[in-house]
Amino acid sequence: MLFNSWEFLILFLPLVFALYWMAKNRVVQNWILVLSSWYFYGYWDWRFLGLLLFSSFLDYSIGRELGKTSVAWKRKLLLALSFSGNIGVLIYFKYFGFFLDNLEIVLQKLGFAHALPNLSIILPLGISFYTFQTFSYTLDIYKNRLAPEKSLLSFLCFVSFFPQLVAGPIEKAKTMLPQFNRSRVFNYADAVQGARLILWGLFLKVFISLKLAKPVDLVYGNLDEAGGPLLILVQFFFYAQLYCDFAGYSYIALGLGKFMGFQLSYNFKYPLLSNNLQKFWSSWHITLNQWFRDYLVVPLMLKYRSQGASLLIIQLNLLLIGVWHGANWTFIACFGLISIYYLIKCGDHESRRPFKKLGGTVVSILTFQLFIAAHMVFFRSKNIGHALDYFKSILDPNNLTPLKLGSYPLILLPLLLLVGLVLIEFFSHKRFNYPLEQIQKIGPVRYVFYFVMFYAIVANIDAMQPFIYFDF
Amino acid sequence: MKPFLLKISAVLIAFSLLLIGSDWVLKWHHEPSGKLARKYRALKMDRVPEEIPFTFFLGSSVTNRHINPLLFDSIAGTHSFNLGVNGLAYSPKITVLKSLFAEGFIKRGDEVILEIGLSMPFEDFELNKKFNNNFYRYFYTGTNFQDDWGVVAHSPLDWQAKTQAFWELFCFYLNSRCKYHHAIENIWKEQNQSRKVKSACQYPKAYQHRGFSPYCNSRKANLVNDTTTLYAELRKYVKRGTKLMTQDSLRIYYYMPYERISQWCCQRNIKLSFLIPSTHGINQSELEIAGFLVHQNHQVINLFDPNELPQLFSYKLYYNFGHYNYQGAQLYTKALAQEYLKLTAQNKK
Repeated sequence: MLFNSWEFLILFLPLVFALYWMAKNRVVQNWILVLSSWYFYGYWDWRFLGLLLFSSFLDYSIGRELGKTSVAWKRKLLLALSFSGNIGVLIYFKYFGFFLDNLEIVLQKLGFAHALPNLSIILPLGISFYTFQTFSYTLDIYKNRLAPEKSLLSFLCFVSFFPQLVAGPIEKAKTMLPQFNRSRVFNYADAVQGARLILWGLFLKVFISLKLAKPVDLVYGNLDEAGGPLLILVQFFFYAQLYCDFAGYSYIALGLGKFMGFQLSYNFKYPLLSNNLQKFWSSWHITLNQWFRDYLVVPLMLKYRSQGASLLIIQLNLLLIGVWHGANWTFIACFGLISIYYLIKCGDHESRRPFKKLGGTVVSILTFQLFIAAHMVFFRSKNIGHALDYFKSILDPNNLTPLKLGSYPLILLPLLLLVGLVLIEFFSHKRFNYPLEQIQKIGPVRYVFYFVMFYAIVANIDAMQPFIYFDF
Repeated sequence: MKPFLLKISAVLIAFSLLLIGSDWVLKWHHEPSGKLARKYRALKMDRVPEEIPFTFFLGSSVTNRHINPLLFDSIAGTHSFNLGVNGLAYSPKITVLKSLFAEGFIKRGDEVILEIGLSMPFEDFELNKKFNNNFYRYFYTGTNFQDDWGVVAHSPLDWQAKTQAFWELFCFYLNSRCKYHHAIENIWKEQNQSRKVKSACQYPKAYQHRGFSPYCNSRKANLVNDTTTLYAELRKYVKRGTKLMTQDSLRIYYYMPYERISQWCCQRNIKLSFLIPSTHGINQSELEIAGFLVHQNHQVINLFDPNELPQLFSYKLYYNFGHYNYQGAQLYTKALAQEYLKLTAQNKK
């Protein structure tokens, strides 16, 4: 079920909301959450519920066992079991087909002409998100940072909580489990914030992302027809589209969490205004970056403290983030570019930069954002060749016609939306977690904004637009 | 929790009412989008000089793909235009007719040949949700919703299918409320797009042949290779939506609407004829409708007559189930023109 579908907004959400708050105690509320989350997940394909349950029971049992033993080798064995269970499932469903395809190419180049079996493996929805979440729970217990959860019900809630089940945010057990274990009472202010988050998220996803997608799809499908400047502009559109798509989903998830009395983590904090990698990674898909930071980068850096090792660890981190995004060379290339950028800029501290005034900041933001937009060519392209064609078309000196493909109407609305989005971020980023957070301060005029957003959403809502990050 | 629920419900209801109310305010945004919009524009360019009466073919893809106005005119001596739109069911056909008249595309003295089909809302659900067709996306009004729900409610579907149908119609209605107003934006976009963009978007080959958009001269690989089997398959296909249609349903949802549209045309001095295509694999209900129309002294051109028009009943003419290839379309147009001439001659007598 998609958040941007009528089924979800008109039937599922009101029904779950009503049942949830009508329940008198925490246990019943948790049961409602678990069952509704399973329904939510199974609505897409009930067969994959088995995987969700497997992951849940595996880590719950391993967590309990880890709590009972202090023998080092047993603990390592249990951790290895959880790792192989979670990551094994992930590897099979997400990467096995990719591995076979590449192996076949290599074998063919070596002169072995046998075709390997062509496996059509369906990628289960949200598998990268919930396996990381459950595995982090086991890791935390292994590292003695968390006590094993006693209640199976709370643990099931933690793994399958529908607002963040299929596309994050990737939450940590130590922040979520206590929330499932405490009594929850309805809070008016939280519910209002939840409604605003949902509205803002839907607006980003259903309206802005959709409008930005039109020129992007057209241009990516017809590279020969577009001039260089248009290609650059469209790449910014894609960057913003991806942002609106994913941030929109994350805001909806946060809003749904607030509806139910939970505080989820913000996954995005105004990345369009970042002017260096550090700021960007602390504002874009925050929970994934934190996951890798906490469970990979920091432990390794504590173990290997040399500067060279640090660089290697960062490179490994970027490679794994790339691989996490999908089984395609394009993702590896995408994060490979970031890796190169990091190596070039790693000695560049902000204090040494010549730009200190506002103009300088704007220039540094623009140049950095240009790089971010450029590296996303790999994110959007079908394969490496397609991405390289894109760059070739941009750099082709004979292809400098300002707006060759399409016409001004094609880019006018997306351009206005992009500029509007940047301005909204600019005016909100210092004070608010998201732009509508304190909108009540402007009084009843806010209803005009609400209505405009409502109109835009209803006009464009279409259950056929899945979230881009569902593919990961 | 009560204050929150009351507030959010009040806001949502108020917004929904505003949205539906905006229909009345924004009625001038009438021009549809998609395929029909392109036909409108082609027609606008084609309708010169204005004083010549036009013959319009209005229907679904069967009309769109089969009737070549240039060929028809060369035989029948008319000046015609093909307004067939893929996936166009009955109620939007009528909306098209009315809106074309309101906007001056169809004038008094013109002639309309309306394709008869059994496409009904509940059938559409089974036949892969045709509601996404370009026309419906923009013109699905409250009246359409009521009409379609009425059809579904009186249909032989079981309660689960009816519930699903109601839900889909309801969502579709909500969804199209705003798209309706956005149509003008799309028109503007399309008018400003270059030819290359149009071809990039995989638009059909343009509508320079007075709206005629035929299939090529090949056949789909999965098509059967003999005529008897082909028509048996077609009958099965049609039966899915209509096998249990009662006389009552026929009366309410076909006879009465056809009567109404006939009166509407008569009042505006528009000549209306009904066309029964040869490609439907016709069934009992369609024949009953045809019989009713003839009985009521309506003009009916019946191409579903294997005895009179055997040339139209060969599997070789088909491109896919329900549609002819280019060769079939040419034969179909010729047969239509000849039947049209016969009908005109009868009327003169």
